[in-house]
Amino acid sequence: MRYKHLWIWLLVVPVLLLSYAAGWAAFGEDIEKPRPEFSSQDGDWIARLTPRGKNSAIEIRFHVDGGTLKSIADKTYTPETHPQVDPKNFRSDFFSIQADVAHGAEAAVSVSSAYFTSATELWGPSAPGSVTWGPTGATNTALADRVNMLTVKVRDGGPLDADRSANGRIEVIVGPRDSFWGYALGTLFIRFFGIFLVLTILMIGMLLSGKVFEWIAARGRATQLPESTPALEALETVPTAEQNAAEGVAPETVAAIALAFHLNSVKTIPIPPIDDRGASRWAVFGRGKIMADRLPVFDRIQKK
Amino acid sequence: MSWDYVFELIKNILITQTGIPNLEIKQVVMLLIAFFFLYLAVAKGYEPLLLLPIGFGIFLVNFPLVPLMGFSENGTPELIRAFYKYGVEWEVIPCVIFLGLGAMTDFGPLIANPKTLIIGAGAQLGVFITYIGVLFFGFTLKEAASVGIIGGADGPTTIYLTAKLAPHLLGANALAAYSYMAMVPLIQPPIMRLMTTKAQRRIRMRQLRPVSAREKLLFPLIAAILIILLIPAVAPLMGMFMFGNFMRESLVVKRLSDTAQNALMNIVTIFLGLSVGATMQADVFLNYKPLLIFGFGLLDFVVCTIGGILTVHIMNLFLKEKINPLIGSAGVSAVPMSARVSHVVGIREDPDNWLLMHAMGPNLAGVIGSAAAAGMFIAMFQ
Repeated sequence: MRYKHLWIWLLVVPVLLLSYAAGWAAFGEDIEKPRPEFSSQDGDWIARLTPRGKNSAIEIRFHVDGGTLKSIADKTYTPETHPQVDPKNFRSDFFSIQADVAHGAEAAVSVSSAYFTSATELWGPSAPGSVTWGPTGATNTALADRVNMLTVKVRDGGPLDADRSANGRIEVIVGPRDSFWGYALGTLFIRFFGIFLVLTILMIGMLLSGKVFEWIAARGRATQLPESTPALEALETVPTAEQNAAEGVAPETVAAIALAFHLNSVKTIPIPPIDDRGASRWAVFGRGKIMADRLPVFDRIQKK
Repeated sequence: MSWDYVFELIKNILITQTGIPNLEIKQVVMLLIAFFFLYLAVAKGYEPLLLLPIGFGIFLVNFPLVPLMGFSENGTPELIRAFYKYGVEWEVIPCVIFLGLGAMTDFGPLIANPKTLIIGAGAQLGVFITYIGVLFFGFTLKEAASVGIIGGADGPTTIYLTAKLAPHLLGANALAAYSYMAMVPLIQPPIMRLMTTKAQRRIRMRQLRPVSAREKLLFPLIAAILIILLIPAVAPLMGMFMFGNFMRESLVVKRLSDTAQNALMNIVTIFLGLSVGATMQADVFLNYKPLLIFGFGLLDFVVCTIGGILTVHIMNLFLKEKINPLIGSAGVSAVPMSARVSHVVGIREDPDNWLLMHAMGPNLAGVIGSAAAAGMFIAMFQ
């Protein structure tokens, strides 16, 4: 019997194994490559783009202190040319920033966005033209409105200047880096426990409302009983089988009345109006019970 | 007019206006896949309501030159493209299906035992494990989320999330979700037996308390308020779900409730199935990703089942009245199939132990849990 399920596992394991190699090969695919659109505003440049793993566009503002920002372009790196640069870690793209400065002077290049977090780093080539990337030593400052600003100091002709010459122009190639696996795992735990949190809150809400409803129902039953109606008065004196026999009600009659009430309660056959005068206490009791059972439904519709 | 001209004309007609010369081997493969799913639906009865239209959708769009999923010269969508565009791309149909599901659902067992909501949360474990697993195989974050949700065992939620995050995986994800939902009676019992002892499978649970009509009426309002306040991104799905349920429980719009449950549901199911099947054209479908999706989809179901049962074991450490761990597997939201599986496995151990209504609680919690998971993912990528 257990071997009946074996085929499922036999199907899955080869599929996973076969696809494993193809899967790793696909790491180079970058189907979410951001396509920034640049505009300038008050001397700053702004890139508007949809980062990897996002549905909505974000804005990144570029600013240079100690120089004039001339142009910004996005860069594309492939796994073939830059095997150590995994685009997944650079969800908001790579940028080449060019600025004019005094010959050999130092400028502070800042990149800011509400998309950045306190864990975002600014990475670039460890040496001009190098395929190995590392942190540029940028400082991360939290600004108002949840904006984080990454600032790096670049000297004309210095190690971060891509053209390597003190020619009055600096070119910085950088990418804001957020650890892909850090984000993926972090958000995994947060969201999984988020579901527990949401459903726990719902559970507490339902437990509390359940208690309230049970209390209302118990109170309703308690208040219904003391009311003095002929049917309910009969409830207090439910006749015994001996009393019925003494009154001369045959068991067949009792069964027929019970069946009629049951059919009426399931709305299969309508029962014609009965004259209460002369009805046995069983009949009155049964009718009273049906009316009491139906009362909450009618009550709710009236309150609508 | 020479014979050469006539032959050339015939040749041109054959090449440009008939399908036979344009038929490619990959399209033949897709036609075989279509036959496979039609076979599963018709001969095996696996989720026929969905697999049949999906299978037929695959069948139709994999003929060459068919004007079904493209756009005409003046830019209007062709037949199935129109169903897809306005139904799936605009995210309408999954929400309408949730409306119908809400109108069909009796939340009584969940209201009577709200603790089972926690089981529904625990059964989402596979969603997140799969999410991480497929990332290792080069899927993007959005693709991983759309694959992960398969384990929630909720077809409309899977389609809704995939259409939003990774529409190119829609066909594979929907097929995997519905195929494995149909195979719940095969997938779950071995795991359930593996994770429980005989004594645990025999645990009897106290009969559920009666739930008043007023309580059932207010449940969709209370649940919608709490869930939508906490996860606004899930409002389209949960809003429709609770609206459908409110219509049902109000007892004053029986015609609307009936329409949502039957006619409307059937209509959108036809369009949904065809549209989803039609996304599986050979060029899009025949690569390694659908294979991985099917592999991970099964893993997802398995881990979700384990997650539900584990959650019950953990809850039992703290509860005076123990819960039968078999109902943990019903935390995946394949309603009511997985609840029925819990019941069947339970009565094999103890023929007098009726677990069905107890298992419906986590089953319904699973629907809410998987929608909440989808909402979490949508919020993550907003």
